[in-house]
Amino acid sequence: MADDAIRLKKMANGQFAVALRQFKRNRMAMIGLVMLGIIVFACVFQHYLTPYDYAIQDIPNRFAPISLKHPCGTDQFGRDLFTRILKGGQISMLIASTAVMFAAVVGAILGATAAFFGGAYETVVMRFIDVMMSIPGLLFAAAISTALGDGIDKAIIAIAITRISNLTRIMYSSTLTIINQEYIEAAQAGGASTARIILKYIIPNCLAPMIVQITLQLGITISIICSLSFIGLGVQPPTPEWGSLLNVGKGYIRQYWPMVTFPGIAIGLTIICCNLIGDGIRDALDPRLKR
Amino acid sequence: MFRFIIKRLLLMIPVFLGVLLIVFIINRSSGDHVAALLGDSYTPELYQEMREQLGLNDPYPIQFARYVKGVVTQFDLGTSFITKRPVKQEIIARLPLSIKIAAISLVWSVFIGVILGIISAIKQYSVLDYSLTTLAMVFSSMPSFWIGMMMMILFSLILKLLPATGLDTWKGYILPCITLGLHPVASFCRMTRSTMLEVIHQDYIRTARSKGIGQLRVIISHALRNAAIPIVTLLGTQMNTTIGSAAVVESVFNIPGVGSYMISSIGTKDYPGVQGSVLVFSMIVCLTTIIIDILYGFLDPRIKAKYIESGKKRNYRET
Repeated sequence: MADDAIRLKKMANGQFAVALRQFKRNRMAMIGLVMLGIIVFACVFQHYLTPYDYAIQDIPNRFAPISLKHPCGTDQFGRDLFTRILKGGQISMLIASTAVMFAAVVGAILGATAAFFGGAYETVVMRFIDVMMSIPGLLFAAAISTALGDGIDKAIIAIAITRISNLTRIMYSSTLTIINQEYIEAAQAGGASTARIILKYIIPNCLAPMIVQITLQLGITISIICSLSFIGLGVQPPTPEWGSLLNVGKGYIRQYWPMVTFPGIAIGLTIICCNLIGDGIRDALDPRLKR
Repeated sequence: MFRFIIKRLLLMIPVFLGVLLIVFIINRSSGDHVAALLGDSYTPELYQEMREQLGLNDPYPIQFARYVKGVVTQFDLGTSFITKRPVKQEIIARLPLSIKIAAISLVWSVFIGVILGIISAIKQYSVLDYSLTTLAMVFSSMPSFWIGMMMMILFSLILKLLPATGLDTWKGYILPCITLGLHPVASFCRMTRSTMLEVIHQDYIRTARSKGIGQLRVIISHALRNAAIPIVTLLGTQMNTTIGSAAVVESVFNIPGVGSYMISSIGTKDYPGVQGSVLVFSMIVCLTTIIIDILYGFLDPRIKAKYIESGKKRNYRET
């Protein structure tokens, strides 16, 4: 009995420690995490993992059949497709993660301040968010790309702008829930400064839904950046981003199917991992499922 | 009820103006319109004259007001850089086809998705349930245009069952509509499954069953009616994403709709074409949102009651 008590006391019981333990028990989420880790590792260390260079052409070897030498075949210039997919993963995931981080920061500030200060500012911000949500994500990013131009940095900005609305809404609703609670009023009555209330109460409680949303948005953003490059905006060939690999491969679909198949599998796998992890985090942070 | 509808329609106006503002800002930031319209050689005087003619020297609020007036009264979406003709001609010609494809995709995906979701919920924890949920998750993670290309390879190039591109026969509609409908089907299946699971465990379902009502009637008349509201919400969201993927799917299957017009405009750097298409798509999304909001009023008795109550005359004093 006493041993149990001592053991229970030693287990960390903070919100995130409990969530972490819950997450580790979720088999699908752990599979997603491991797979994503492998994908990220392979893409980051692409240079050391494959003997080929992603840019050097080898025309005699173009459209090679699938073999151990070229597990995904080669493209129209003879470049190894597996190498280009790994390199492309760097770019796709870089753009997606940067865009989501940017959108998360802007969205968090907008949402939190709108809920906190209220008034006309809140109405204007939330109406604008409603407007941004009525424009389909991919089309919005495409329209912004026409104004900004091509390139990795401009693609990041274009996509980040379209993701702001979702994250602002989440931050807004969780901040609104919290600041209406009585313990905030009690803290204010006890003399806590605004900064202390924000740091100690609001941010920790809003962090959980934001993290879930950020992970889920990551999957959606990868899909959008690939679609954007597929239609010719964002990243242009010969930069080997997944979407632009599909764009080029589309032209050779009748004679050489690997060029459209394998980049798509990479995209699909990565998004599945993000969704599994996002669902796992959501279930782990859900107090109703706590055991 | 009527007041409810009018109120919802009025709420659409600021959203619509907001969308116009965003497209206007993008339009004015996307390159030099005058140079694009004039072509290769022009004198500075001609340049200035064209600027005056297009109204680009006026302050921005006046330009925006003129833009809004143009869109609302004449549906003027700008002039194409390439053809020098109004963009709206091309878009209006192509719009019916795009709407047709999107409508077919959404209709079949709602039916099949809801039915699969119900089956999944009734037979929870069975092999069918697990495989359906896994398939739903896998399909909704793959980009829809990629699935389209894979199906094109399989059914048109390898099996030679269906035409790869073009809409000459009814067979040409099969691949694009299935491709567009796959993401919504997966979402509807998951959403229907989770709401039905919540509803099925409620007491009123137990009561209905204990009264001897058959399983089918219990599901349709009692369970589904209560699960309908989140499904209708999802319909609105799916409209949004389906229109986004419709553009790319149209280009993959060479369907002459607004989406492929937008993508070919991107290729020729014809920015008014792109912005006009985006505006039209956004307006369609706005309209569907309004229709779905109004549908809520009919579906959810709480919303209906709120508006009927507020319309009634109060002939008692509140103490």
